[in-house]
Amino acid sequence: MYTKSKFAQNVFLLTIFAIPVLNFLVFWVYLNFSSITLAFQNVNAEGEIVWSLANYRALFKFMTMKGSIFWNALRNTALYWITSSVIAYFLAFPLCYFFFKKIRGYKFFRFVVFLPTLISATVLTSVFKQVIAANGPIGIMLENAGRDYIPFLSDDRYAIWTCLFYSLLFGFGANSLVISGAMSQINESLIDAGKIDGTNMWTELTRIIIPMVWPTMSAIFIQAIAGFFNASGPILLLTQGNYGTWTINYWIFQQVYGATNYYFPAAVGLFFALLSMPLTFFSKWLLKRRNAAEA
Amino acid sequence: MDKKRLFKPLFKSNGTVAEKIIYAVAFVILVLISALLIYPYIFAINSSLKMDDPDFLMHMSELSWPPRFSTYVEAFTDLTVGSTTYMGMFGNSVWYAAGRAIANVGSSMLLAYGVACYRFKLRNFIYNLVLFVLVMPMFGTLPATYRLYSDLGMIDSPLLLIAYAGAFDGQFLILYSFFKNLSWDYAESAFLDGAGHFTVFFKIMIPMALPATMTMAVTNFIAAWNDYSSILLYLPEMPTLTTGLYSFDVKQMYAADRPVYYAGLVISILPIFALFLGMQNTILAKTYSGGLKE
Repeated sequence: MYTKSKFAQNVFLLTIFAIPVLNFLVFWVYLNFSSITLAFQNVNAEGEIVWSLANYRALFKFMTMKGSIFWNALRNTALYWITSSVIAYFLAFPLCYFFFKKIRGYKFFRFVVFLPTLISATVLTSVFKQVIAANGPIGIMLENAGRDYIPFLSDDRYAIWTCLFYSLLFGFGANSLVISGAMSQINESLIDAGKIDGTNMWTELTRIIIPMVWPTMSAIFIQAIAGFFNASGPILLLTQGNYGTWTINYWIFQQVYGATNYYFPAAVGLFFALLSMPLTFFSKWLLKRRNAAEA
Repeated sequence: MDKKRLFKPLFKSNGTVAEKIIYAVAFVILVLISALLIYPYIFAINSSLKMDDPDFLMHMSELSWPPRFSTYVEAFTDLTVGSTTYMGMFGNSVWYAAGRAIANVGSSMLLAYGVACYRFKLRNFIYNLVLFVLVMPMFGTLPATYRLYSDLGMIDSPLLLIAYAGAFDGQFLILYSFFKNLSWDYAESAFLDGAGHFTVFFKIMIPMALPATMTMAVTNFIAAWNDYSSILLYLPEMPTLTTGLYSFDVKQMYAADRPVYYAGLVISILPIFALFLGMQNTILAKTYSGGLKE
């Protein structure tokens, strides 16, 4: 570390820190402060901004009124979280094992699975909607099979499941990348030693690979708990929230995008941020406990 | 072709018959998944080569023959959203994605270098602050963000890029560890030769950090190129390819020449595809080991 001229060093540090620190003060400190204040503000009949708890009264009304989208949004958020943080990993794991074992063509398969993470959701959803449309390939297949067309994205019974299927299919790449990343850290000599000892595929998987990958996987899973309320998919592009496909995240986006009211969504956001806190601390506690147990 | 090569086993192993069957099943499943994932691209390319047919939707699944390659030229003239042409959208995508990548990686690099390589009073405080920011659940700040950007005149302005010059994120940690492990001998020699802090940073450290930051910048660029929600909110009058094509799809779905729209979709993914192919090994290797994926 160089300390020849303290003054020159301080000038240098002040200069290089100016942008990141100013950005942090404005777009993190002030932004969060502003978000909290916004949640306790409202506009009265005279158009003046007043401080009140009206947003929270409205929130509890929103939660309890008949036909409210709140519980539907919460349920869908939970479904998205389970899909992306649990099911996707379970499905991607066996594939990644075969990538790790260098199955023939694994480079090509890995590239194809990863490809959707590179492509814009606008492009993918646009094509996906046409593929499952009544006059698209799926619709024609159903017609040829003598079956009625299934309105995948325009019926309450199917829309959310179609959105989840889309997220699972095209979000697969990111999950497989994480697992492959964890597997790539496994020392090849362990696998070779296992081979010399005559281990079969099952033993190799359960006694070497899963235990070696487990620390990374459990850390990712625990961290995902903290992001529970952020779980969502490209709802805007697929259904725009119609047919029972709201999520908490998309609902807040829609309130701002529709520019209807900033105060109420800010209160909803704060409510869920407060709910997230115990989840975050719980996940950190779990992570710490797990690390201590491993040490 | 060499018979031995043609019938190359599915895996390099002297496994049992049961294992060979499992590999064969896995191979078939991988082929099916790949077909499922590749089909949308084939569908888009096939649709982009069709004639301007009023019953286009009815014939979407049929093979386009003869192919109409002119759609790829027409996309540049016909696909307009408001007053923005396709080239305009392309330009917006380029400045937004490149600007966001440079702002984000550049800012992280400035903070990480200072904290990793210099000793000063607030050093540990800044490092712990980054960890604190990463842990804090940030949720529902969108209304306040929109209002702040409006107040600062950043809506529909390239000034929006200032907001992306944040450094208190995961990238800081990666760059911090990079600079921490970088040999300080080069800097020391330069200081002895009379170089100042700025010279060392710009002429020695940045060039040494370029390979690592390039990968980070490329992944940032790809994420920004594909972003649509931020652009819909903050750049409504400056559509990029993602939001422009989305608006075009929503507003002019039945009025437009659909094959031209599909050609527009295909063109929009080409730059990212080329970028990824060029840096595939580096991106995958870095993502595997460092968690660069957003």
